[in-house]
Amino acid sequence: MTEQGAELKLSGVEKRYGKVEALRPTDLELERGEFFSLIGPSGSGKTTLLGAVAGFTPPTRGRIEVDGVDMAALPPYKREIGMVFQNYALFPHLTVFENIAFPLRLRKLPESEIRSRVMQMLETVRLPDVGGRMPTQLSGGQQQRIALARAAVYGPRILLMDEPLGALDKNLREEMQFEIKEFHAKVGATVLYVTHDQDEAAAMSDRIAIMRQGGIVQLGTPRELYEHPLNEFAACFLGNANLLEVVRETGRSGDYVEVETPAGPVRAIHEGKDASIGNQVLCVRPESISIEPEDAAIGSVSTGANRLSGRIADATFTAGSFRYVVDVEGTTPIAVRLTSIRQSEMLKPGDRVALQWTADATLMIPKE
Amino acid sequence: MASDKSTGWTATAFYRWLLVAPLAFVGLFFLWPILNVILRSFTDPSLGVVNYERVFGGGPYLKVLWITVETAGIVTILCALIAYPVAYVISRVRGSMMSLMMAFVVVSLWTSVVIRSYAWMVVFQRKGVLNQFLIAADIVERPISFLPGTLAVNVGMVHIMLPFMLLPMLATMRTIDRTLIAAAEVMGANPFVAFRKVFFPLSLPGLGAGAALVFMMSLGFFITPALLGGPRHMMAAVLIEQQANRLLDWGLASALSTVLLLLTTSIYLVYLRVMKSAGGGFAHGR
Ligand SMILES: Nc1ncnc2c1ncn2[C@@H]1O[C@H](COP(=O)(O)OP(=O)(O)OP(=O)(O)O)[C@@H](O)[C@H]1O
Ligand SMILES: [Mg+2]
Repeated sequence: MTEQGAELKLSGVEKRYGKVEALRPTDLELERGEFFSLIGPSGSGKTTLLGAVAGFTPPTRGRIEVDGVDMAALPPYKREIGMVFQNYALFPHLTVFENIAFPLRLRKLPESEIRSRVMQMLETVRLPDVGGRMPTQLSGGQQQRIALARAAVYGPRILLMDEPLGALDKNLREEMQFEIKEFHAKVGATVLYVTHDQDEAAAMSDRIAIMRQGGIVQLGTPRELYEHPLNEFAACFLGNANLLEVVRETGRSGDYVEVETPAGPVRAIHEGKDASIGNQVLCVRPESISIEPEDAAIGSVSTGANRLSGRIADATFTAGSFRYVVDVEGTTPIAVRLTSIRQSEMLKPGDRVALQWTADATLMIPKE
Repeated sequence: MASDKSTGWTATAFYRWLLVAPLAFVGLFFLWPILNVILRSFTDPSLGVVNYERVFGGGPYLKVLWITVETAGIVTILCALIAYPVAYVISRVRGSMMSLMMAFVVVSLWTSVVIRSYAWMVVFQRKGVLNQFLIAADIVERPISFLPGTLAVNVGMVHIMLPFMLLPMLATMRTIDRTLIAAAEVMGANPFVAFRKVFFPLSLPGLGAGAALVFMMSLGFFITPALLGGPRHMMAAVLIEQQANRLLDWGLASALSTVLLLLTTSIYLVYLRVMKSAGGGFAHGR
């Protein structure tokens, strides 16, 4: 069962429906055993890409290679790929056992082997006793696990999952994310995973591709995407971002650039980009900003740090984090997120505060 | 609901009273005549089972019953064979195309059964369309006498019963989730196998409902066999009408009716039974 995953390579894969370009010519390479996620807004072509790999939506153009063999012309039933659907797609007229046995029976395996493989799979998803039940007699999370078991029982080397957790509530989602990761580690297949949920993608994936309007905007590890978003869209899609307009560049020294913004001067890292044409914005993550009452902060100005003052407009506490929204003159309100809080940071709406963050946490990225 | 308060009635009590009228109606005009018929089959002309001895004593009556069951069976099978692919196609198309196809099915229900049966008489008569075609195509030399006859009855009844097979099938097929077929295909089932192992079993409740409906309706069907079958293809309802209205043998007519009723009821019970055991798991799922 712990077969190695396959290499998946898409080159120039394109799908058109008449004039609609559901998928622009796309190149993508998945490594063996990798957990790869596609995220992006609705209609960005995630399902289309998955359908092209599964064989439901034959691409208009392009090659889809699994371990070097082109599959583009093969129908779905010859591709030996596993897939988990959003609504699970368990067969309602078959028992859980027969659902998992379905792909094995198609392959005409001997009865004894079918039994042992199904049982082993049921163990893997930690539901050894539900074989005799009908799918409707299981909870959503249990159905989800049976769907996983069924997709992997015949040892496909590529597993596709189209928003498999979309129908579950938040707590169960988080539990299932963990289960799926664990499952992935056990079966070893290469996983191509689709989700709407940026946190889910970041928590589970080795790499992520952000899609938009049928194309891939940026591709990388969750950390790369978070720390070096290529543009405003990517910055806002994975994680939250405060954006500051660039009025003009006032100077450069080494890796840093001095920029004038409507809220005041700010130092950023330029990564070789040029702000003079006015097509850039500055991006600061809410997590990178520290906050203090304005009067207390006077003595503690660290040199080289960016500093803005403002007034708290809103303070909220959510499970695990504090969030302030701060009105700053000249720009849109700035969000600050703290995961733990010191006494000095206990603030209420109306308080005047100083915001500080380092130049290294200030990225200059292309504007939309 | 404002009137509820002013009269001091609760909604349930109100609805319960509303039920009295239809219940009385059903009791008076439906249950009572049936009980009467059953009673009469044992009392007319004298107390005992004479009428049943005549029905089951061999001879023409038993044969008519057999022809009735046989015709109902053939019509059911033919309807199922024709309606299944049609329902399959209609269930797959979407939007306005679907509405259009549904309209064709429903429109045929608007035309009276009498008119549709007469239409088949026009087709099957000596100088009818069918005979003209057969002669023109040199298949036969002289017109065939289709009327009255078995072929005409079967064709006419299949035509009339088709919507009753089609509609329950369609209702079931439309609830079948297409991603189930996709799932079967990814797992290695070619379209034919996916159909056989997934779509077909899931469509069975509709097929069963349609078949039970058509079979039961066919057992007691009157107009079409009366117009197209005549004495050559006599069915139970026609025989009953003859006995009751022309020969005034009410006892025999009642006994035949009772047998028919029993047959229909038992088919229905069998149907319920089969659906319940087959549907054990997934009947309550959708
Ligand atoms: N059969 C089709 N005919 C025409 N256009 C289609 C068809 N299927 C998809 N599209 C279009 O292709 C684009 C991409 O659709 P796709 O289903 O891949 O989006 P998605 O990223 O999966 O969205 P979601 O997150 O809502 O599932 C959409 O604009 C959609 O309208
Ligand atoms: Mg989708």
